[in-house]
Amino acid sequence: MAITLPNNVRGPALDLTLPASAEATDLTVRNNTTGKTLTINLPTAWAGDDLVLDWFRRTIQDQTGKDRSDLLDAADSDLWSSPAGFLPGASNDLEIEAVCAALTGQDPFNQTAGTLAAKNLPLGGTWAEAGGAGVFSVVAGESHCLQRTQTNDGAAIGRLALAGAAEEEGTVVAVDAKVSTLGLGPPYQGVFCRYKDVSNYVYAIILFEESTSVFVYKVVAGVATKLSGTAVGSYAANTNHRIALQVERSGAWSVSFDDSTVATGTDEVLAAGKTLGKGRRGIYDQWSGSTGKTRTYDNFTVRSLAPAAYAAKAALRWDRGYF
Amino acid sequence: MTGPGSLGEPEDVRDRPPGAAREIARRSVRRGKTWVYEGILKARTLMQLREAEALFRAAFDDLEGEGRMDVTWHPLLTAFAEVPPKFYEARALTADIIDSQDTRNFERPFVVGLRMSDRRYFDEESEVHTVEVKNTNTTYDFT
Repeated sequence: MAITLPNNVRGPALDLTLPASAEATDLTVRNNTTGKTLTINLPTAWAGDDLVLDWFRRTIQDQTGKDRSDLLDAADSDLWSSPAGFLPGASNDLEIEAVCAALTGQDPFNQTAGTLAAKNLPLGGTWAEAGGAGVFSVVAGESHCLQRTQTNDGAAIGRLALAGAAEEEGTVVAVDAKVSTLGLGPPYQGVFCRYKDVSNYVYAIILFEESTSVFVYKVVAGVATKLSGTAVGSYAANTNHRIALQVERSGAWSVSFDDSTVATGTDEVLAAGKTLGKGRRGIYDQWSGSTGKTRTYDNFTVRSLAPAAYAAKAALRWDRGYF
Repeated sequence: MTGPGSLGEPEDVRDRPPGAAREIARRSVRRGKTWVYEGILKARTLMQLREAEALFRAAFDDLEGEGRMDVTWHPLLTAFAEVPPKFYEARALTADIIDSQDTRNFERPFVVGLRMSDRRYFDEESEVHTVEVKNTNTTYDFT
């Protein structure tokens, strides 16, 4: 609904009544009229403190008056800091969303050594595999990780480790990855989601080489299409780096490398109800070269962006001023 | 009582070009405003008067921030019952009691000088727009 702020208002102020939550939650307020947004990052184990954002006094405080401006997302604060965040004397189309990615799958690979397929995730079901030859294997001992050493994978597809049978629309899937040696071409190491079968899924990969890159591909009816490719720097071999792929019900996707977003986009085929609108998720590995390279994975996580019960209230108010 | 009918005090910025019998008016703004109240403290006894004076001075003593003054219509003026009260925020710069016993009654005239940093006065929260966020990962409009 469009809200008309009169001319000469003092404020506005936004009162947020927030429930306690074990999971981290991002609260985003959007003004679709000005295109400005702000996000409040509520951490894990949020006790349920209320917040007041006061645009007149330029304060963000909890119910005790303590300053909580530390919760404002510095990368998404235009609606808070920009003088043109609200339009006085005009209608402002305001909306709010609480984004919470609840953990639905997790595996640090502490199982006994052996083939990954049929092993259980501590959270999220049972592993299965699909794609080319050469399985994933859990490595026990001090490292406790997942590895694949297959060479000469076909150019069209590698090996996919499917984490459980759950199919999700909104998903964030992530894993730590490293490779034993650089040079002579990079393997493809990463994660996938929205998996229907070996001919239909979307995946994000790290290509570890002298200049490391992150790519995102969609595979529809067996045809792979690149969605993005971004250089992320130079890194040594045998060093873990984390890749995370987020795909939302709207079809918006983003990929991050070591917790920094490197590319974003939107694809209609990824929207709910479309060809890749829902599916399974897991780890992707492909090495088409003949040189032996051990690809290692650890700390696999899946978070769901599905709507879940939440009980927050927001009230926007202002004082009308007179001269 | 001065204040409500007055504009904010101007910060009138002008340049005086040398050799020219004129000024150049620059962009200026109005800043704060002063409200002055005059009144009478009345009590039945001398001790009550002294107590009232102490409470009066304590009420206007704080200089750290700005206090709030609510202005409402007298409840007997029923014609204005629906008119929302106004308020403004100001700091008390002076609060003087003239200690002179001129009559048989225990009463003292006073003057209060308030300085508003914002020259406006306000209706409190004339509109509130609310929304309930019942689910995560779902967008809700303010109503």
